[in-house]
Amino acid sequence: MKENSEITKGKTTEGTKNNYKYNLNPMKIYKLHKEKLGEFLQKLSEEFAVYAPVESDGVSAFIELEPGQEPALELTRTQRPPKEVFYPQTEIMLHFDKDEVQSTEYKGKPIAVFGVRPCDAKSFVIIERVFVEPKYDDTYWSARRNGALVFTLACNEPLQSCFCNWMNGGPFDNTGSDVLITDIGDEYLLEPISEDGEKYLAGNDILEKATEANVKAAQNVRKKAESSMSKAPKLDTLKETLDSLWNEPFWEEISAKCLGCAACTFSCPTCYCFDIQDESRRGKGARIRLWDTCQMPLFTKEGSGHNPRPTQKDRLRQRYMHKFSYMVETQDEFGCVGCGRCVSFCPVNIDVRSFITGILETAQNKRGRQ
Amino acid sequence: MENLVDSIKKIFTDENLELLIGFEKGTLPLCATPCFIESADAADRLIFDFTCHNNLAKYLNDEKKRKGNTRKVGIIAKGCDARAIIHLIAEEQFERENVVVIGVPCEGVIDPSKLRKTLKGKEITEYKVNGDRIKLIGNDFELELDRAKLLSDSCLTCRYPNAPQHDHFIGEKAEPLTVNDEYAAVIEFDGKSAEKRWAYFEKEFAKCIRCYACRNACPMCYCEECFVDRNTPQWIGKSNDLTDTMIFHIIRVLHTAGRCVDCGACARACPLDIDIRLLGKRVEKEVMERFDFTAGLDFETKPAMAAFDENDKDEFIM
Amino acid sequence: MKNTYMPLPVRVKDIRIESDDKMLRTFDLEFVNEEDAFDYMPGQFCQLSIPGKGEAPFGIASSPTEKGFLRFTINRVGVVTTALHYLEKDEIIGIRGPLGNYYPVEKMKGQNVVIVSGGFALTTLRSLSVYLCDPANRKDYGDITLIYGARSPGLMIYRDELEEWEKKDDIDVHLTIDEQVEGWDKHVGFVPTVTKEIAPNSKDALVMVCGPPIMIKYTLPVLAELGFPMERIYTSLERRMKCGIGKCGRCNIGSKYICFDGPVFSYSELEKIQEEI
Repeated sequence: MKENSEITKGKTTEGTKNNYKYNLNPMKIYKLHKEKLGEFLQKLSEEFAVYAPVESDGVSAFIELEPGQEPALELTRTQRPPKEVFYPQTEIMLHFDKDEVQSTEYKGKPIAVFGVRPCDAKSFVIIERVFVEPKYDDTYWSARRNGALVFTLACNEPLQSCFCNWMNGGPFDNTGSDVLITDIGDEYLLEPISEDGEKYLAGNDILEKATEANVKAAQNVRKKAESSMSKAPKLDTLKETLDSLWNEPFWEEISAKCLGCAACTFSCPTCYCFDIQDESRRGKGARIRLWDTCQMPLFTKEGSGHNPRPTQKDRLRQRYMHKFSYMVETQDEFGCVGCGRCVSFCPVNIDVRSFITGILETAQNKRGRQ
Repeated sequence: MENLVDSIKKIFTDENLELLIGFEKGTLPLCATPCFIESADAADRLIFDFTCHNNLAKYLNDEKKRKGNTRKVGIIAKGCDARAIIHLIAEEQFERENVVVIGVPCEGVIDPSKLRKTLKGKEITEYKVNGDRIKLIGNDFELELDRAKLLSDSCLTCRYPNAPQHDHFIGEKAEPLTVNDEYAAVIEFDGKSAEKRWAYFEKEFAKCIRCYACRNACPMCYCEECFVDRNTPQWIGKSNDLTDTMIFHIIRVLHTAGRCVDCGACARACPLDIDIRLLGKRVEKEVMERFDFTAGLDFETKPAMAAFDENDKDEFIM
Repeated sequence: MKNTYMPLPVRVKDIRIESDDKMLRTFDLEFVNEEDAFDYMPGQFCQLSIPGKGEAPFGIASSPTEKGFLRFTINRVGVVTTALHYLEKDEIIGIRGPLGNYYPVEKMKGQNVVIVSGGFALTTLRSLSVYLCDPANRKDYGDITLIYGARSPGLMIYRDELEEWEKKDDIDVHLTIDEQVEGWDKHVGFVPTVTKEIAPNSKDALVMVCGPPIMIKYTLPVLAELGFPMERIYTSLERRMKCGIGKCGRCNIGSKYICFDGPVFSYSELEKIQEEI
């Protein structure tokens, strides 16, 4: 019986705001020489289905590694979000054949996600709070997530569009990780964060113990990465501010250029909304779950034809309110990990960062005028 | 662009515009963003250069949805944008007198997909243009290349860099590129075997995430209810299963046949850098050859798919 | 652990056409497997599932005190509801439930209960009314008043039953239609107007309001005038739903999921929500 999914073993937030957590505790860190990475992954794949960032046909995503395949760890961010490892875009839930209905959840090897970045590792925690809770367990998520190991690769080179530090995260955040990996040049340092991570690394004879000098190097890399990011504005009043600005004209202004596509929601690691569709032919078929987006009118259109979110302004407002206000109420945490994908992919350059700084400014001006 | 702001301010006032759609500087390097102005003073924000890659004609459709066809709207138009506007008016989507086409000379626009592919996962902090060359500068790298390598494919074979018809034109008209054959890429592709061609499209569309950025960026996609959203009957599935995805793209291309101006906005909008344009370009060639029609050149000519002429080829009729 | 998305098989036991325009049908369903039968409370809903067509949420119209069947009244508007309307007796469909929360029957104990409803929103309120009036429960509650309106007599649901209830003395039933028709000798007028006329006493009372948005819009001020505070006015919200268990995000309104935190909410809970309810 799955327990309350404030997920256990070091990945939890205990219901409090998830602040940027890094240890780099010299006592517990292992070291892996880069040329032994293939060996390490090969051993990992004996027990686990290993997913890692791979670029193929010009698109980078987390894909199950073929034997001997090298992951593209130099990519700071994959185009497709790694949530699809546990929550694929299209997943068959049930197969039916006349009156027989069968559930088709994942039954393969436990999954290991290797080389995911701290923002994306945190996103697993955020989504899990919705999908797994005492009353209802999302069977399909849990089938993939149970027994999974998350090997997070800390970011030495955050990108320009990254803003994890705005969202209480950081390039070396270990939230959601079983193991935190740091690239210090010729070697990777592997730090166990959770009990499962510790258990896995402990018996691994490909690894050595890291030296103090190694750990120092890691700390330097961390400091360099953190200082390369643009300073985060203070966001502790963001929720209250948003709540007070529901009817402000800026919503109309920002949403004017929005195309209403799903580029932001489908590339977002913390977006979890889905649709359920049935497809069948002559009594045989399937019930399928697919990613859905609140940015399209069909999302809330009712059978009567009435739509409570009729304009793009309503829908764009929903996205931002959900991520920066409603989820703060339900999870005590922003529903955004600052990965920067929406910033990078929005065809019309709607930038959530300028949205945030913009509304804080609007609120300040309003206060100034009062 | 010199004089842009002053010219727009004058046009705004002289034409009694209620809305002007243009571009302003974006938040990322090499990226402009659409900008909506409702008073002449606000025109200070406007820019126009090769980073202005969106097709603004699409926003006329939004304006119509939001405010009907009631306001007088000025719109900054590259050649392809203007052709799109002209075609929309030829399709009777707007009253001609409510739209003020303000042409600007275009020398091609940046394709974000190409930029992503060039940078291979990295991002830049700034860029420097030096004639035909551009220098891309990141935190710890520099890359110099021909600017043309980053331009949208549609720009490389563009024969209409200036609005074919306009109410105003700001600046000197751009020289059309010397294009030997606009359809060279299509013809080369057509030479491949059917299996190879199908395999190519399967490979490209397998990446599709069904975000509909391509459809929503397109000025010609203005249907109240798109065929992908209909569920009585359900024309196609909503998953990213390859068969459903291919049907979506194929049918969309057929729906834009004879209407597409090859602005390339669809390909530039795609977050996964899929080759969206190729199929549409082939259909465009077909329309050109069968009906001697190029979309969006003047307000009066009826669109090929919306008109019948006795001289139309009819060899397909038994 | 049981798969929360797996529907359980139920058989169609009885079908009744509720409205003159035939767009409303009532189905009584029974479980194919005895052990699947679940307990529920008035106000909860179920997802009815037709493999190949889809699933849709419906409020449970039967009361837990009525054994052996689950009753649903279905309005035909789309793919799933049309498929449901084509069902015949003994056909088997799927059900998932009970979902959502329920009317605050504990808070109602010792209090008077006023029920205001319109159109086909009466479904879960029928469940509530039958539950409260059940001999095992009736003594726990004070006066029960039901005000129900429809556009015309032909569009009223449970009409025969309601006319039976009019004769009972453990529930005070007021039926109204929009415009006078021949043979109608009861109230005439919109529900908010009739509610104002009847003027139920707000002292020691809770009120459940369910109906089309426009009815609710005009009834709320009437209730406020009668002295009902926001925390004693409850409603059952509706939005497009898919999963029914608070995960797919479709019925998200403010920080709540209607399927999971609701569908029953008091108006004081809804005050904070800025989106159109």
